Parts: sequence; C-alpha cells; structure tokens
Amino acid sequence: MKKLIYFLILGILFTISCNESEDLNYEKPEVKASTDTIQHFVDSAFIDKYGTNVIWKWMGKYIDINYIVSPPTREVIIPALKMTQDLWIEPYEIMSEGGKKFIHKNFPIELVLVGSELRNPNGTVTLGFAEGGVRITLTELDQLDLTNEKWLNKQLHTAHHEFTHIVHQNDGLPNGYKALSSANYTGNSWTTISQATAITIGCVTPYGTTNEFEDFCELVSQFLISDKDKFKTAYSPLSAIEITQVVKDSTDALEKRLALQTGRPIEKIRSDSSKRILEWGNRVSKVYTEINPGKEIIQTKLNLAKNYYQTKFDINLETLRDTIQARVNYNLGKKK
Amino acid sequence: MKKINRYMLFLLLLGLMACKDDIEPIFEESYEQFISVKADSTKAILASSEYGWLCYYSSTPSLMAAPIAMKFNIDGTVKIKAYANPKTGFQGNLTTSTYGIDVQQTVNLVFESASIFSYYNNLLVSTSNGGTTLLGGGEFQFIIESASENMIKLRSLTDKGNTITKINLFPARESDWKFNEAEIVKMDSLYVNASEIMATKGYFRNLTVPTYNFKSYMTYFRETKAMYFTYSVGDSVVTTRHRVGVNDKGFHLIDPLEVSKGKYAYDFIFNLGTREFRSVDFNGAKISQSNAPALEYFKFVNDWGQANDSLQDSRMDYPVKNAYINYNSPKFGSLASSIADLQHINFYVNNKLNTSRSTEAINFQYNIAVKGVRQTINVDIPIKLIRNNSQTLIFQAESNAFDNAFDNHKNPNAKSINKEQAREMFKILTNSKGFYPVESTLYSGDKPFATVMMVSAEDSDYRFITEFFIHNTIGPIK
Repeated sequence: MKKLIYFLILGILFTISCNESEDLNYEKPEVKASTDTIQHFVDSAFIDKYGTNVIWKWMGKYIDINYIVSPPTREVIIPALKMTQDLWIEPYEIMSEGGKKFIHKNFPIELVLVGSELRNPNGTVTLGFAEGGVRITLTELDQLDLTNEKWLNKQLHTAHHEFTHIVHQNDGLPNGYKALSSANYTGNSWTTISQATAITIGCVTPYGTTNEFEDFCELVSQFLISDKDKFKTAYSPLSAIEITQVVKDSTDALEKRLALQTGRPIEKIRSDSSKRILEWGNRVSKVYTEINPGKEIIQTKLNLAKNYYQTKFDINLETLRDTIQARVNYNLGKKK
Repeated sequence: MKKINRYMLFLLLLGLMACKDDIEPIFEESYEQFISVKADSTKAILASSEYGWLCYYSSTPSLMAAPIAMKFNIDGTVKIKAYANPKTGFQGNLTTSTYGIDVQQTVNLVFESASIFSYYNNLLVSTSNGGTTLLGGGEFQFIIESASENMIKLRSLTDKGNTITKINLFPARESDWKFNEAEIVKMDSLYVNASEIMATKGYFRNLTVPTYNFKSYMTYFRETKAMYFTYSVGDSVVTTRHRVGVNDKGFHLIDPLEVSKGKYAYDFIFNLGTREFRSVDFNGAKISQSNAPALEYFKFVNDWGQANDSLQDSRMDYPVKNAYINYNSPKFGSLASSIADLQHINFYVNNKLNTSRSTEAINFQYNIAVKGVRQTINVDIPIKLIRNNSQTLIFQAESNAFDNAFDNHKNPNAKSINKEQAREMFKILTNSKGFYPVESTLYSGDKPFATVMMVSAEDSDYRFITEFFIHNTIGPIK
C-alpha cells in the first residue's frame, strides 16, 4: 500500500513538474496571402478543387541541382495550367461520375512547372517525370504553343504517361498484364531497341520495353494522345488479306518507281525485274507477318487496360481518347 | 529497503524539480523564426535601394556584358531592365518577375520565374557543323555572399568547377534605368577604335591614379570583353585581366582593379571634352588617350633578348594567319595579306631558329606552294634593335638592307613574293619613331598566352599582336 502511495506521489510530482508549458519561443510564421494573380489562379483552380499545389515559382528542392534548367516565364504559367485542365483533367471529369472521382483522387498532389528542358550535364534531356505517385513535373513550358503538334504531343505524352504511373501505383496493373511480355522486358537496354522491335515484342514504344509499368504507361498514354486511325495503323494486327494487299501496294509502288527511273513501261519492268519485285514483296510480307504477333499482344494489353479502366473506374478509354483528340484538333486547327 | 525507497524518491524529486527550473533556451528563436527573420532581413536589404541595383552580366565573354537594373520589392516582385542585345536578339524589355530568399546552409537569392538570366540559359548558338548548341550560363540561383547597402555580392549556386559566375550589385541611380542602348554600342567600339567617336587615333590608354601613384596602361579586347591592365607591383610588372561591362557612359569592371591594397576601381565615365575616362571611385583618377604606355619602367623593353647580361634565345613572331589576326588593326592586316602567302614576320635575337644565324634580324617567313608542295621561304633582313627609351623599340636597317636581302636570296622561289608590298611592310616596321611594345595576355580557351602588341608610334592604326616567348624575360602572367 505504501509503495502504491509512493508511486502516486511520484506520478503527481511528475505531472506537476512537467506540465508547465515549455517556453520555446515558437511562433508559427505568419503566412501572408499572396496578391499574385497567378497564385490566385492556382488557389482557385487547383488547390481548392483538387488539393494540388502548383510549384510555379522556382524552388530548388524540387529539381535536382545537376540539371541545367530555367524557371518558367510568368506569361506561360496560366496558359499551361489551362492546358492541363482542358486536355488532362476535364476529359476525365465530363466522362462520368467515375471519371470525376478518379481524377479528383489521382490528380497529383504537386505539379511542378519548368520553363526549359531538364538538360543533363552530358547533353541528354530528361522528359517530365513522376515521383512517388504524388508529383508530376512538366518541362519546356516556355515553348508553349498549343498549335504546335510536336510540342503539344510531348506535353500530353508526359502528362498522361506520368499520370498513369500514379494510377498503377495506387491501384495496381490490370490482372494478367505483366505476364504478356514479362520475358521480353529489356530494362535499361531499351535505348538499343528499335520501334519495330518494340512492337514485335508487344510494346508500343522502345521505352515501353523497360518493364511492365513503363509498358502500361506508354500504352495508355499513346492510346489517349494518338489520332485514332494512326494508332490503328501502327498497332493493329493485319489479316492475311490485308497483308496481301499491303504487299501488292508495295510492289506496285516499286514497279512505278523503277519505271520512272528507267523510262521503260511497267510491263517491261515486270518481266525484266520480276525476281527483284518478288523478293521485295516477300520481304514486305515477312515484316508484316513477323510483327503481327506483337501487335496482337498490344491489342490484348489494350483490351485489358480498357476493361480495367471501365470496370474499376467507370472510364471508357475510347470516349476519353475521342474527347482529348477533339480538343487537341481544335487547338491545332487554330494554327494560321 | 524502506530507506532505499526513500532515497530513490528523494533523488527522483530532485531530478524532477531540476526539470522545472527556468533554463535559458540555447537559441532565442525557433528554426522557422530564424529562417523567416533571415529571409526578411535579406529582402529588406534588397528592397532598400531607392532605385534598385545595377549589375553587369554576360553568360559568355563573346557576348557583351551590359547593364541590368533590378528593383526588388518587399512583396517578392522584382522589376528588371536589361540591355537589348542585338547579337542575340534579346529584346531587353522591362519585365517583372518574382524572387525568393531561400535560407539553407547559405542564404540564396532565387529568381523564381524566367528573367534575363533564363533567357541566356535557353540561348542556342550555331556550331561549326551546322547544328546548334547551348551557349551556356543563365544562372538564376545565387548564393548571397555578402549584402550591405553599398554592395551585394552574388555567387552562382549551380556553377561548378573553375567558372563560377559572380555578380556584384551596386545601388542604381535613377539614370541607370534610362540607359541609351545606341550609346552602349558606341561606347563598346570606343576602346577599339576611338575615331568612331573622336576624330583622333588612339588605341590604348594610360591609367593614372595620382593619390596612390598608380600608373598602368590598359588594352581592351572587344571579342572577349576583357580589359588588361599592366602595372608595377614592387619590382615586377604584372598584367591583370578584368571582365568588362560596357554602359552608355563608359565602362564597369566586373573584376575590379586593385589600385592600392583594399582599394578597388570599378567604374569609369567617358568625357568627350577632355577625351578621358574619369574614375567614379577615385577622385582624380583618369584614363587618358595615349598610345604610349604609362609605365616609366618597362621591363620588356629593357630586358627583351637579354638576361643575366647576355643575349637570350628570344623570338617574337607576327603570325599573319592565325587567331590573333582578329586583334590586329585592319590596316596592318590588309597590308600583310597583300604580301603573297606571308605567314610570319619574325624578329629574332640570337635565335637558333634564325636560318641566317644573324643575331639581329627581321625575318619574313613565307609559305608558298612550289609544284603543289608547300615550302617555307625565309628572307632575312639584318636590322639593329634600338631600345630608344623606356617605351619604344626601333628596328633600324641600312638603306639598302631590304634590296640586298632579296637580291642575295638564294631561293629562286623568293621571286614569287610581292616585293613591293613587302617593302611597304618593311618601311612601316623600320619607321624611325619605332613601336610601343605592350605586354598583354590572350586566352586560347582557359590557357593564357603571353603576347606583345606592337603599336606604331608614327601611326597607331598599324598595330599587331605578336606571340612572345618570354618565359625568361618577363615571368609569369598574373
């Protein structure tokens, strides 16, 4: 009992002695509201809506000090952010309730804007990147030109590719996706892979051959930012009849070229150069036949991705693609 | 046992009571407060100058360093006016950007949005193979090395190695915001060709600072935007290199000139009436137009070709066909070019390379194609080297020396040389007033070359750079 009293006294003393507020002189620095119009736009369009902070003023900690870079010009910041609204956020929001929830849930917590490329000291360039599923960095914004297809594609590619990383980091890959090309991923050797080889092993780009995650991000982003017909031409497998037609078109073109070069009639070319034309046709046939299995893998992956987005998030990737493409074409159409 | 418990209780009580004592905190403020106070005080200094600050910046020597006026405001905005550089197409409009003070291990000034510095960062220049490459430079994050109301010293946060950009900010005047761009271009040419502004000839100028008995001569190289000052330090003569910022009134030395221990000269203003530059920093200090070096003792003249009381193996050669041709006067250059395939004019003193073995000679050296093969033809003309005074060298020749040298030349290919043009050159070189030899330093990349600029005392439009092998006569270039 005595022991208990001792401990009770001890406890009281301890509480009394240590509950006195420690005077650490801490005062939280006063945060002054910004009067900057850009910050007002960021506040209303990104922070309030998506909880996304836009790092538009240069902060060294966000970009590796070894990159050769420059901060964005003030004039491009709001147009660039409007571009992300128009060609990235809104297509999801107008898609469906699921799409709206999806973009609100997954839109990065931080968006870092850089005016220049991220130039490495060795002269190479790093495209935008995503970090830990929370931050996406957009580069080359000083070149902002919504009527420039090349620039616009680069930006959209970065945005949708990196955004897809956030998706798989949060929700994983579609079931069975990884197994489709698991034996063929090349890791860091992707730089030695040609576009044709990438397709042959079932990936849409050489970078996609790195691993299953880059593969998934490249597939989804290329699908969303590519013209529907161009994507089909590039990645859809051909039937035997279609291959026959491609071979015929190709040999016809060769005959015409030879006729033009030599000044002889096509009939003569056909008879004199029949062996060469036949060899050419066989070569074309071989290329299209050999690449077909890879294209079939791409289609299988695409179907998995479409199904994954539809069932998990209520997002129809084709509708999403059509919305983005319509808006891209509207911007490109403004070019004088 | 009971005692032990009591002792323990007593000890604990002591410990807990100690905990209650009012201990002075080691730091008087929290980390956040420290950062905030530091940032605010730095901002206050930046914003303190009524008309902001003036600095000179160039990402590379080949681009003119020209004024940049910056007005920092306490709200984090900064108004910038930069010189419109016609060479790069930079428009130089008045722009507003934002800046931040980033307190880390160092206190850093960061231009948060694109500014003049970003412009240089993105500037592409053509390469020899038809492509483009980044010019380099364009830093926008700076460590504040020191900050006072008189000067703020910035050092690039991101530069590495030997080429770390340093910028000094000085309090700007109201007039610094109204600089006349056309005048800047005119001023830039003034140092190279004074006749563009003044109807007189003059190439280098004497700098004198009477208060400190400082005498120097300066040379300016427009292509590299570098000024060289040669002056005595104790018993030796040194040449120091200074990056120059040109403004519409004169020039600013980005790397200041130490006139006396701890006393630096930065700014000079041109006065057309007196035809001189007056120092802003030193009362009475001026740079006057003169082709003669200010130094009374000129080691080069005294010692050239001699060391330890004996002749040395020394040589000057004027290479017609190399990079230095850009530094020669157009008048001299065109004359040299008119002499068939002239490659060098060599001045030998006891030089083993001298084919004639004469101890004193002007040696015209030609490259000429003989049946498709390039051959070197030397024409040696004996001269007498006269060190006229502490400032000039005279190359004196017998009246028939030139003709004799050509007539007696054994190599029949010497006939291919344009003799009349060569004679004209020889006349200029042997003018009785002689040449002012001016030590200087040129750079091939980062590698310094000791050179001598020879300026005709008769006509300063005749001047040329010579490579000067001076290891044993002048000593290291500072």
